[in-house]
Amino acid sequence: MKRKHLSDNLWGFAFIAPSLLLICVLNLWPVVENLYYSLCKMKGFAKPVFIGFTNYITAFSDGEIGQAFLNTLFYTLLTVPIGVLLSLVTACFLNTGIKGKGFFRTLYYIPVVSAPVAVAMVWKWMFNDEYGIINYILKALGLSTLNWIADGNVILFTLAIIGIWGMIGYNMIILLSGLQSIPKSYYEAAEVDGAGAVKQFFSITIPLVSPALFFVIITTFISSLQVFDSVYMIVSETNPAFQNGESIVYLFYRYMFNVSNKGYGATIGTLLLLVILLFTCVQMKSQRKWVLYQ
Amino acid sequence: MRKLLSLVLCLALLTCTISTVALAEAPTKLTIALWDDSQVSGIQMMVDKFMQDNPSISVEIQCTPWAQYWTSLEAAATGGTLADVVMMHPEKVTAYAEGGMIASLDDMAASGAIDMSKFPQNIVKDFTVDGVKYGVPKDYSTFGLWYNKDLFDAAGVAYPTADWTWDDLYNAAVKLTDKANGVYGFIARYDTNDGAYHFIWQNGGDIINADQTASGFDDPATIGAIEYMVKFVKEGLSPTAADLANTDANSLFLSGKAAMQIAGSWNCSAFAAASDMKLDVAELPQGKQRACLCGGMGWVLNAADADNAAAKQLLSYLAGYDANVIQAQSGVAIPAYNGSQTTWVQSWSQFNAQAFVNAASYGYSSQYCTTRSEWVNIESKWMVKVFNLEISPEEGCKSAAQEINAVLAK
Repeated sequence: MKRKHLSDNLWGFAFIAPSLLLICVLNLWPVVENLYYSLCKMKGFAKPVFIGFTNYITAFSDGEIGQAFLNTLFYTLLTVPIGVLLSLVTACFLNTGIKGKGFFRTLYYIPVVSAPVAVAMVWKWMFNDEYGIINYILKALGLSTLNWIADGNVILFTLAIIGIWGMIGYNMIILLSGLQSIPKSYYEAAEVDGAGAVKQFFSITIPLVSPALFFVIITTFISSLQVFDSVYMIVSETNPAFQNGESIVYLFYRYMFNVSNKGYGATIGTLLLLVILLFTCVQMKSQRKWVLYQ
Repeated sequence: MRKLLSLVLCLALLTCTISTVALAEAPTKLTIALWDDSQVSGIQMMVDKFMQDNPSISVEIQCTPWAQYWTSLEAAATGGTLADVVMMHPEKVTAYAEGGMIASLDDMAASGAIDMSKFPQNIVKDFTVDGVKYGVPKDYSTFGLWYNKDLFDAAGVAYPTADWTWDDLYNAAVKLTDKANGVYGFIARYDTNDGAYHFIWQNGGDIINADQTASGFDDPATIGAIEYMVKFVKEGLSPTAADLANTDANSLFLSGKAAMQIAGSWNCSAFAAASDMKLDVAELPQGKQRACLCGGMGWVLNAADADNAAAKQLLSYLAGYDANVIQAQSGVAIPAYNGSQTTWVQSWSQFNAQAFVNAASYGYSSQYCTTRSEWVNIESKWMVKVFNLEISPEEGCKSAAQEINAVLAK
């Protein structure tokens, strides 16, 4: 009996071996190497020289990394709740019988398949303080305009708007599939019992869609902490809002490729990995309190 | 029967492979790596001529876009598949030379296979690491004062000339600025080496001292140059750093919102494409002295080819007059070989393109010091604050110098 169990397992491993191997070579090994490089002094083509925790000690006294982490956290805490909420609302609406459902589903999904750099270019153009359509509309409505791109107090909101806009499509599809697996009979029964739309939403929809919602929150958290494209396109180093807009991956990129100080870059990467790990662990632990697995 | 058949097939395959290997050995294959897509056709013409003269050598061009060039070049270098001749940037040459990836060209220069005296000397110096020459200048770019003739005519101001001084530039900017219509007289931008360095050198300052041990930003001459530039911003004659973060300098210039700006020679094709505007270029105005950034690219030789006669022959050809003239005809980049630039100037007859060639004679390139990538972000941080009028030039320059010196001391 036990032998049978073992041979079953072996077959299982044999079947996943191709992808497992690729994940190990392309994903896991680089993580290990990155960890090693973060303990080294590594500039240009020079061979890595082991220096222990020096890079980490520098990192903790480096104001720029602190600022970049604060920027990224603020961006994430702004983007995730609003983005996930909007995704859920959109998914709920598109799950009802409204007209042109297919059209809207496609429309909301377009940002996901558009090239991020092109998207950022168009947003930058719309956010232009003098010639952009957003300030033009604000002016037409008699409101005061904002310097969306070059004001350090505004830049993270600008980036968050772009981030939220870009994530709704993908999250919506996942939530939609979660919503569609809820049997209609539950709602009918609730209606017979006299539950209104709001009551139905919180007592039936939310608990039953919670596994999909949990997945969406976790992945959005991770991708928000890794924000790069829009920052890279909009916040150049000669932008006065640079310090208030720089994200942690952008800082990592600058150390790796502009400054060519790869050991320190790897340190930043490892620190980000730890932060993401921490957030994800906390969320995994807390899921028992609210996620309902049938 | 089956076994016999497979044996026969295997033998047939084996002979095939052997014969292809034998065939492939006939011509010597060389590769050239570069990043500029717009130069491929011109360099292909140079290479074609070379292959015509040397039928036993075949040369292949590998073009990788700038965004991926250095990443893939680094991977190729560490993996041992670096191209034989590589287009190199002065900021990167030290890393490749110290990493032992590229070959010394001192022997070729001594034997006369390459005549280094035919090139702007600041570029030869940029590709010299610890006294060893690693690169042949390929092309260079310089800067000029681009101006919009329509705006000059409307304001009744005489066009810029090569004799302009700092005062002339300022006075013209005052007259050309039209605040009601959002027209700036001049774009005074920091933008690292593209914007502010010319003025610093013209005022006798520098961004770093000669032995690269201390920042030049607290030098009174450097501060004076930044003060001069910031005056334009302060008086509304130039956009601020925040304005430029929204709309970049070329967009302002090409939409008629700026009468003058300093921009590089590579803009010729973009500005020629704006055929409905009357644009032209003059040499940069002079301060205490003439100065202009002159950044040159170079060809380097793979270290593995140090004894490869064919690769050396190709490099020697690329460093010669004939190849440079062919390069000039494409109009993309100014060829580095002295005397071959006339062809390039002729290809931009609608502009005073000679201004760019003249600028090479007083070209500066000291921004290519080895440590710059480690501190340029500090410089940028403070200068952006200065050009956004958040702090005074003196405070910004001194703070930048202090922080840069701390990095240099490490």
